[in-house]
Amino acid sequence: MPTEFTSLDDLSIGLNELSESGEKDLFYSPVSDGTTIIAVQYDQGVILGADSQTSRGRQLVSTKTRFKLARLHERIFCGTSGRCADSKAVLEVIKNRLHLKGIIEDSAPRVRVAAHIASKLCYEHRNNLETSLIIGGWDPVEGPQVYAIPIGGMMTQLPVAAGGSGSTYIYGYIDSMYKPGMSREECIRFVSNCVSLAMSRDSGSGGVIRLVAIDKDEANRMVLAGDEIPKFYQG
Amino acid sequence: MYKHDMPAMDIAPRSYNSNSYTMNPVFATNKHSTGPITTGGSVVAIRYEDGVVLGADKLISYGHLRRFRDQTRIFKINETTVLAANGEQADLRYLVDLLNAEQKQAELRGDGFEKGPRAIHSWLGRVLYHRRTKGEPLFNDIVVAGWDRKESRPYLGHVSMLGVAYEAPVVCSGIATYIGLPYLREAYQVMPTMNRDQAVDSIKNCLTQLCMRECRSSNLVQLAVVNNKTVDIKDNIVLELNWDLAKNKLIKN
Repeated sequence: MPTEFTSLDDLSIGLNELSESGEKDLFYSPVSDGTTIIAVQYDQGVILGADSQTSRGRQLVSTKTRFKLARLHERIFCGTSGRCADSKAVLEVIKNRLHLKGIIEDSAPRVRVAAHIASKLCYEHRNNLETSLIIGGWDPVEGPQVYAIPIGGMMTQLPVAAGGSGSTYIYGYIDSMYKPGMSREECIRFVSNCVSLAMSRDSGSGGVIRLVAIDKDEANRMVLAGDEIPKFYQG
Repeated sequence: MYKHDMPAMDIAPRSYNSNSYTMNPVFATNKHSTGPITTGGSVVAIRYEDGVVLGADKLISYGHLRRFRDQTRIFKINETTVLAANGEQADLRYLVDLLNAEQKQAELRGDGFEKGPRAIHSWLGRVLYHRRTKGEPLFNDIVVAGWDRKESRPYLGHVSMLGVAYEAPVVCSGIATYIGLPYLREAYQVMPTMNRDQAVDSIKNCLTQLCMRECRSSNLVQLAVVNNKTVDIKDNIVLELNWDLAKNKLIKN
């Protein structure tokens, strides 16, 4: 690695040298979530689940204990995947606007409104953002809802939504195991299983399983770590 | 209106009512260099004697992943117009939001005038051409179907992603341009005055062929039938695929 940079040209030569040695990927790639996020809606509420690992490039783990289920409001939570910085910036703006909307309308903001604010933001800045969101929550008007906002800013309401790099490994599990009309405990087990299976196959996902159970009365945060994570075939 | 500090990434001013600056597509500041992400498959449409039939599947793909399998891709704008598009569905929904807002304004005016298919087709052509000129295209090939009340005849038009707008009796978007268009054109040439059921059958056959031959498609479809009175969207039609060839039923000893 050159020790002196006298001009921008020198700096670019330096970066090229780094890439040849494979270090460029480690040190110059955006901090991104290899992530698994999933949300399931049941009769009375919503369960959101996520892993807790953030990776940098393809190899380095940046954080092992990150909170990916962000609180937008008392009963509205948002799982984020994609580039970390983009996710955090977007979340700040959504929280701000949602809070303002609640003040203006003097009532708890609706989940649909939160999802719409998020999708509009992601759509309008789609060239600059690389973030995908899953918003789950409960409101007195429509009850429990889950909205998926993939990269590009399209918003859609689904009973079960998964996102992040780890989600590709569990679509089969979701399709075969999800049934409408599950109870709260069944949903929690389903979400834990999903995140665990994704974590075991996706190197971008790992750490602990973070869960949020939202219903009319409370938004309960839970963590499953180490031995508490459901185990499956490991061969 | 509600001025509050926005992070630096915000470019255009914001407000929550539908007449805001950002709802005008000419001033939209998003830059679409990324290309289509959540994409819809083909759209097919044919004009018959008293109306138009339009068909599309209900799948939205995320690259090769069949991500959302039960999504509306056909949008009714008013009693005389319906539209659907392939390509980036976020862009299509953005355009439909703008059209719906305009439709609400028309209803509030209550003067009996609303935008017919010809006006909407023309507007879409201009918007798509303008966005292509700015280098920020909307990634959709849009099919506009409806009933032209002024001329009392069915209307079917197509707008490509680059803003090429034209009217034709048979129109397709996506891979259907290669697979479905020749088939439907022949059906139309043989019988230009076909009735509604024949048109629906043609579209269903076309969608079945597309389901077999296009990777990013599904057999769960929607049909929209437009006539001089209304737009009728038939939802959740499951196409029956013929697998006799696979079961060797067509091979003689």
